[in-house]
Amino acid sequence: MTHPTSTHPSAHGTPRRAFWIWIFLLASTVFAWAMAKTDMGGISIMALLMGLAFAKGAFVILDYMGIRGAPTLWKAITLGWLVVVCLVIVLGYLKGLPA
Amino acid sequence: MDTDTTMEKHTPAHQSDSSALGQQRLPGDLAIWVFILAELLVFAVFFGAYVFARAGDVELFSAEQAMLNSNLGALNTVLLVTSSFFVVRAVQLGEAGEGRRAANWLAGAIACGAGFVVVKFSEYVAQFSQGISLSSSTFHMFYISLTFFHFMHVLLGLVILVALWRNARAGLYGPDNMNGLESGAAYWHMVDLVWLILFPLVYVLR
Repeated sequence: MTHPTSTHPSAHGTPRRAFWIWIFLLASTVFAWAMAKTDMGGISIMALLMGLAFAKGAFVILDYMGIRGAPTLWKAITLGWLVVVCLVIVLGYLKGLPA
Repeated sequence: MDTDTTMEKHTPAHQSDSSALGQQRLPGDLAIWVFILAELLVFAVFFGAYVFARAGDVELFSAEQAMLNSNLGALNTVLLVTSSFFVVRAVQLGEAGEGRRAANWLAGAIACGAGFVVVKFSEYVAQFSQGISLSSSTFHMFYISLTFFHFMHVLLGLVILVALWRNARAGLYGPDNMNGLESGAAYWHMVDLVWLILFPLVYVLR
């Protein structure tokens, strides 16, 4: 089959990339679930969880939402939201640590 | 939804990085993105309020968080990320000029979204039957309002996905008519994105 040509460029990457991102999302979900089951906590676990949450969010924004191919302003706004949310959570977590 | 076979066969010639083509484009309608940004801002305020309220009473939040069913939370995460993958495959097939095949992937995404609703609803029923309510504690006030606000977005997202599925079955989507599909897909990914922060924050972080 010949695919139609288009002036509409893909912003959503290749099917293979989408698949591996899905695998990463699943694997990091299993990791977070394991952390919940083992009752582990502390700064290092928090940093790992929030790092993974940031990575998962960035993949969803850039690849699944298709922001990778969007104007720079939209990349800055959406990824900026993710950075701010993760930083606020880290700061709030640190504030709750015993003095 | 033959992932492996469709991976190679249906990568369209034009499906290269748009930036490589020197064309930057916001997928979908500008209006849906303004709506998505407004929703993301509201959730950001919710997350901030939760984590700083937690800082004021870590013991209470940890004790009540331990009563949540993290198995169901993780299952719902799996359902949402899987539905997001199905939706992006539907968009890619639409771009490849196979709008009708995209309907199959959208049906899979709808099934996963419906699964999320069933799991979350059963979680609420179990909690409400134990007498848990918005006024039970600060933790439960945040837990119920935050997750229920997200739950309402899942329901709206499902309505959008069903509309996309009907249109895809009717063959309305193709490489030159992607606006509706991309707009609805962006909304669904926003629902997934919010849950990817909500799950570790509310169910896991100790």
